[in-house]
Amino acid sequence: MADTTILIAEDDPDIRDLVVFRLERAGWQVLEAGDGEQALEIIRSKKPDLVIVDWMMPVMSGIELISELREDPETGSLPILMLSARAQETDIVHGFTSGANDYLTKPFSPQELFLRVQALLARS
Amino acid sequence: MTTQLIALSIALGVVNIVIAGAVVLNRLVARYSDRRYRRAVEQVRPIVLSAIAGDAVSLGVRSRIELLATGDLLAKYGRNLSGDGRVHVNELAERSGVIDALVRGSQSRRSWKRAACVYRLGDLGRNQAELLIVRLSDSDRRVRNAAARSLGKQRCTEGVRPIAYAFGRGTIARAVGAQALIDIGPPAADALARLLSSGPVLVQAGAAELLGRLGTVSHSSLLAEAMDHHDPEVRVAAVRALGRIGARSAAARILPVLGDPVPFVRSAAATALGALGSRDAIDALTVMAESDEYLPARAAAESAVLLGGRFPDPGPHLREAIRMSEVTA
Repeated sequence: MADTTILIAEDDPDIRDLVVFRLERAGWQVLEAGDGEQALEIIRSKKPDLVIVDWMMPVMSGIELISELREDPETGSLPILMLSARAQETDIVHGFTSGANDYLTKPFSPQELFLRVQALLARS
Repeated sequence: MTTQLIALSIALGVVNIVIAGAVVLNRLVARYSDRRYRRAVEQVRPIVLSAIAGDAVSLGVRSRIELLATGDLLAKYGRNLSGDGRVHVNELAERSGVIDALVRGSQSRRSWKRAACVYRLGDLGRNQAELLIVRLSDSDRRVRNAAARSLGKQRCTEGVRPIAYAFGRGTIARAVGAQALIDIGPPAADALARLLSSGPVLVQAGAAELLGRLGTVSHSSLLAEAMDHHDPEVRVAAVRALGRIGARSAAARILPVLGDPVPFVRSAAATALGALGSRDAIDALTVMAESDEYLPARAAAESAVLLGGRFPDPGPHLREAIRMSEVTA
């Protein structure tokens, strides 16, 4: 588990801290990014095993980040979980059609987040 | 005279220095408070995160600034978490004295503080219906809005009636009131249905409008009855609600409303018939588009075109509606 690296791209530092705390406690290494562009740089340099992406971020949104990742052959199959406050059915459909492998809406349960990450990693 | 002018200049200079000193001091105090607040947040954050994870932690909150930082963090996590995480946030909020502090703050003399505390109470802890309902009558609109929002977040069914009254009387923002009732869910729709039957006129109109957002087809017969109300505000809200709910069976009841004596009720009826896809109404809408006053005629023309009517010799409203439909197609 300690070899597994997860990136959380989220502009709200409090939510980021919460996710990092929960995932590190599960034994994973966690990297952090405050916007989509920073996340893209980290993904290209550190090659994480899974990415958790917020939708609404400055500089580059989560949807734009996912599109960039899916267009690149190196990151085309990277597991992505979208964590967003946008909870309408159309938003969730948009998230999946943009390339997210899973979608969790805020407010969220940290335990559910952990289980979904675990399931995504097991499938990849 | 010269001496007096010199004395006045000196006095003004001293006043300037005092004012500048006060501004600088104020800034320094603000910066110091901000630093203390940030330090407090960093101190309590690991404890709060452990508590959210379910660890048995004790949070020895000592100072007011620590209590404020804890309250802000917990309220933020309360907003963003569900399940066990949310339960742990609530427990910590109770144990650490945050809830008690917010209850005290909700009675502060400063309105911004009351609003902030009432807002946070919606994200934390036990049901505060009684307190929040009192704050719905606060003298400050921000506090009333925060109270409506918090009643919704806490799903207080006791709050439906006072929120509907505040909504109808316009003492809270309409969007806030509607969202609060949406958060409360199905019990809100049933309470609104009762208010529609027997409330003051403004509240009845508000209840009808809100039923359009929260109600289901099961409320359509009640709304159809409201279309016969003596007050046009209630009639127009009922017609719009029926169009919004999408109760196709109500179309036959809406059709006679095209002859309502009040133009904006006729406009709403025309728009609702278009939204309901009522093709039986095309002829009546076409006649209305050619002969009624400006607003109802326009609404009728738009609906007639939307419903796919054919017009061999369209008048100005129908021509405009056809052009608009081509542009937006």
